[in-house]
Amino acid sequence: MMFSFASLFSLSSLGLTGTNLNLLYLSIILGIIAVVLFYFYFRVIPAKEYLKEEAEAAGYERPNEYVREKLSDKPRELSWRIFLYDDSKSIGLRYLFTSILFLFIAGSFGVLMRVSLTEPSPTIIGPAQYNVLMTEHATLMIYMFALGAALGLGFYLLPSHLKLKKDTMGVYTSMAYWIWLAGGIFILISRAALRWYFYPPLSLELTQVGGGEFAWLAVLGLELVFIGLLIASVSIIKIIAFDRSPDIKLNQMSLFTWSILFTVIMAISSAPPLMVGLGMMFYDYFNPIFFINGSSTLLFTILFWFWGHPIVYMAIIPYFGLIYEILPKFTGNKVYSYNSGVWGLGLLLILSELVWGHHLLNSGLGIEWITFFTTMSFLVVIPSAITVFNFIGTLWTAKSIRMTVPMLFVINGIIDFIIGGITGVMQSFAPFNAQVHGTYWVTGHFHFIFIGITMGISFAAFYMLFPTFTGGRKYNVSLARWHFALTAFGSYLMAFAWSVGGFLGMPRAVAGYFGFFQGYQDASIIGGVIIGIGQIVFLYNIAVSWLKAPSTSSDNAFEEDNTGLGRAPSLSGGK
Amino acid sequence: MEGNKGGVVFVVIVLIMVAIGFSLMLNPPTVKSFSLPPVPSKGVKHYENITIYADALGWDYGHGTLNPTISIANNTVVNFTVIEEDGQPHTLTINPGPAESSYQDTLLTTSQITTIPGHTSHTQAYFDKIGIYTYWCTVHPETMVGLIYVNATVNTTVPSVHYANYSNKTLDLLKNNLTANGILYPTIALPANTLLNLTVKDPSSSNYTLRISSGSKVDTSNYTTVINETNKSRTVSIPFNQTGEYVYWNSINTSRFGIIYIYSALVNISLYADLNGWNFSKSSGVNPTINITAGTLVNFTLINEDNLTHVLEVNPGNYENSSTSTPVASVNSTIHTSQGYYLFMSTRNYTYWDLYHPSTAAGIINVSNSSSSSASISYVPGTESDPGNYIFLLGIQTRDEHYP
Repeated sequence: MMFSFASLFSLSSLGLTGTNLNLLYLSIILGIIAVVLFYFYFRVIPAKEYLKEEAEAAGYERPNEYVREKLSDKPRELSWRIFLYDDSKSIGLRYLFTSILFLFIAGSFGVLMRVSLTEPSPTIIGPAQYNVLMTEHATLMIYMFALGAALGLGFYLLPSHLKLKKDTMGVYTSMAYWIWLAGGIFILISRAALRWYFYPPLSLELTQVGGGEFAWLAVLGLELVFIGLLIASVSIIKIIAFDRSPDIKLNQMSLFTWSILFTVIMAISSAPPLMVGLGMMFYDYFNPIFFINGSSTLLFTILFWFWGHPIVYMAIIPYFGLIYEILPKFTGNKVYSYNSGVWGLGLLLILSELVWGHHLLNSGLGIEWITFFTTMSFLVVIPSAITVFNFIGTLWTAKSIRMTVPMLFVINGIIDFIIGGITGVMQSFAPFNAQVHGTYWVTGHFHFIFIGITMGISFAAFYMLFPTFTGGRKYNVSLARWHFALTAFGSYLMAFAWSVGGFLGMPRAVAGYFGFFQGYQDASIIGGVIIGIGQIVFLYNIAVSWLKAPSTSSDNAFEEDNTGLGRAPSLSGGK
Repeated sequence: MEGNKGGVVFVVIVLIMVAIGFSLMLNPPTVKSFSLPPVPSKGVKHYENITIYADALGWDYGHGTLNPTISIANNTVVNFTVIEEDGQPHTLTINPGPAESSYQDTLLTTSQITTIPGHTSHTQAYFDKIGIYTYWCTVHPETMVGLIYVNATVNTTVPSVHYANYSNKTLDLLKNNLTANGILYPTIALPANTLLNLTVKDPSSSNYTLRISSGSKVDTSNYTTVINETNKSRTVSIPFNQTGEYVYWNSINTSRFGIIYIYSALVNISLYADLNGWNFSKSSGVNPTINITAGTLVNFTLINEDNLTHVLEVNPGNYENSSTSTPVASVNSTIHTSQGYYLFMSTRNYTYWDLYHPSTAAGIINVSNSSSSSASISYVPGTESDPGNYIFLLGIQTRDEHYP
């Protein structure tokens, strides 16, 4: 008897009225349109038809056979058709270029945040806008850039590293990509101010001074990202475990394959608690029964960090694998120790699941737990050191090292990781943590690692694959060197100023600071702007270089055969 | 992206997406700015000079009253002089309302106040709206926070007529709050045409001013001062003729107040809260229509049936409307029954609904203009709980025959 549109969807209980309600109707309509288009995409425009035509033109009856034999180990150019093909390489390209797009979106937010801190009091943008920018920068960088680029490179390189005998998971992986992308867009348009933790009760306050009126959309978006991630992870595990060529034994798999395998195992084993937590949180918007008091908030922090620590390892482990692939290209020798490389990455996987509590050392977990998590955090030094010494050993035993642009990024990444790793291990020491918790020290620590390893190695891989993406075009080396120099110098300046200022107590995640810290903030602003200029150089470089005529081979550098053993197993592993 | 334009296409996409991202982020729905009106060049009625000392332990720490309450008339320009005391960064920030909020206007920033002890900074603020404002320091919001009262003209007249009912009530003044039997600001429900004999006991010998205004919240522009007393208990007679809602409060603390309902009829209604609808599985049928007359005060008793959270909301109109509705009573997994009043003044339909299950639990209250004071309810009410537990005054109403 009482019927209105609002009551049908229980929207009034979300506190939505007036304009917001209209926006929501609009998004529901757009959502329905998207579902229809989605249906079209899969059924009415059959991607396989395109592939079939191409396969027939090449003399194949079955498209799958064509993909397996002709496309899987062929260099693949970037083309609109990647959105119609369902093979692993096309999906890899989708992930990779989408993640670069999100790197620039989220990176521009980061530069804007830096610029807004020119004065101690918020002047250019207000605290509420700052909170939104910080949330979006962190969430998009982690879920859309770091994870996306790792999955992209995985899907792009695994078929040839493993001499894939069949590629049958395409439909599911393609669906995973679209779900992941929808989740990212939801997070972007939600403009939530939750930080990347989504802690209640802030995330339950759908108000202007709380988490933002559309914070629920971010919760939904993150859940979608997880669904997409898990489908893609299962797909990768199937590729590695069941679809690889019988010629390739486990101990002959490339180190990059191992790193991707460890990454997806980590995702599958640690994402479900937070997925459940987010589901409970979404239910709380309608009937608040889960996260309504202090102790249940602590429960959510544990659910979050059980996932939140592995995710930051997932943002570096695939890039360690890439370093193992890149180093031999420019040193001319094999990786120093294949076995210790695998064991180092594997130990990182195990230990990453046991250290989440070091994010909560100030939350009152109790001295026994603090001791456990601190000890476990110190143990992470062992696999990290194994990995770094393996890199150094490879460089040490090289007859000559070609300092190309990817190599510069790799060496910079190793140095950045050493600095960021040491500052990281320091803060897992509970008394020291009490001093630096919530300061820019932490921000400096993870920006050393994320810019040096995640972003730097992505760029290194991008430069190595640039001729492949573009059908044999060369990038402008001097512009690329400028890009490297600006990124490396800017990130050093920014993260180092943060580390020192944070050690002195500069609070992070706020829109202002005390006048005392002016110098540290100014230095980091200069560093941030330099990084931004570096990325403009990168964009200019790829636009201009792409306009030139092809002048080199479009062979995939990561598949290059200089061992005499065939394309796979790759350089680093095996005989 | 085939051919040589791929890079250009990608760069253009990146730039478009960054631009969209910027435009989205810089207009987040979380931002609403507040600013005090500009100081007019003429037409200002009052000027006020206020000097405050900025100290992290509180405004004016060591200089008289801590965080002094500033009381000014409407249309006043206040000349603030802020003196830095302790070498720490401070701001002077003002927002409407009795507590800090991000909907604020920072008059003096940390760089204007500076961290040099003894530094003096000036600013002007013009207040043209009656109400409570909060002045605070965004760096020390816990300690440095005080109130600004912007007052209207005072009007005190007590009408005098003959009354059909008389009622005696006693309130205790406890730390500036009015209480009775330990209940803070109890709701008083009286029939129309009553003379209320109200005694306020002041054991702690403090200043208090009892004020009453009509409406459902404190109206600082149009009220009646009933008692303005220092150090003394006092009894006054307050006449209530018309049905309606009144508010009483102590002007020392305007953020707290109590409600006085003056009704033509009082009805007790029990509602069983269920996920599937009000009175689901009861003999009355789900979401029964309730018929009452205008001026009826309904005492709703909410009884939880399914251990979920339920909030009874009532609003005028045929549909749920969260912008005009009032929460009346709520139950959850630990509180199984609760009670609340709603005074139905207009001859129209009202909607009673559940904030958490609006699609299922919603019904109509039909308010008719009948002269009969009895309400007809189209269902059998459930068991009533003891009214003495919750009604402060109405159930034990006494009639003072000797009152002149």
